Amino acid sequence: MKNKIIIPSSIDEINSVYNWLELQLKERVDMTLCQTILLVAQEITTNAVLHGNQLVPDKFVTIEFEISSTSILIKITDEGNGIKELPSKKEAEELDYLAENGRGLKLAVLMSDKIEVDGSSTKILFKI
Amino acid sequence: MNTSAMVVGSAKKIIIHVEKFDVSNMKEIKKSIEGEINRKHTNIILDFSRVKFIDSSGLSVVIGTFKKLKSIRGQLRLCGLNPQPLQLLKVTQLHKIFTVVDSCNKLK
Repeated sequence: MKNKIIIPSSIDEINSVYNWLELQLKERVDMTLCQTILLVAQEITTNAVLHGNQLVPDKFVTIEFEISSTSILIKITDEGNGIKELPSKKEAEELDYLAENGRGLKLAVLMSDKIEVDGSSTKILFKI
Repeated sequence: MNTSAMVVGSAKKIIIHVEKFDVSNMKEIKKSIEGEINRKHTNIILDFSRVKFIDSSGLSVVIGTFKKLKSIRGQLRLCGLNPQPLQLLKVTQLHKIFTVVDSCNKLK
């Protein structure tokens, strides 16, 4: 099953992605995985709105959701230049979260099963 | 109002009233907490009982508060953490650094 939502680049709209995604996940995954997916999606969406589209109102962020019997794939696409480089899993694990900035991307790496950047899209995979 | 504050013993308890403590409200909540510290309250309890979800923006406010209070020899305690905020603290290992109390009612 595939589904998608498109939002303008506004901080207030990030909440609509959370609500939409929560509906997609409802009764399909357990509570812990649901909360993990919601957090990772929130971090990448926030990054897309703030840094990718730089809050330009007529630039949009597209969030695609796909679920199969074994996995969930979320693809988040903005109109910016894309994330230059994601930290490795090891770097994210070793990070001093008290000291560092850029915690959102590192959390996304740490808490997803697979994450990769393809141009201005970020694909996030979770195993069910 | 996203927060309210009350005196608990020698501490000031700040109750966070939002279910989602995130990028959309972190500035307002940060301002409220800073206001209490600026009014010389250096023993702060953050009551998370109503917070169901926190993201890295919300977490950055807690980290900033911890650092600020540490720099002035104050104290920060967190109470009433629901599963997701607690999970985030564990993933980031911050549960080992912050003082986390299960029940807000036990605090004095």
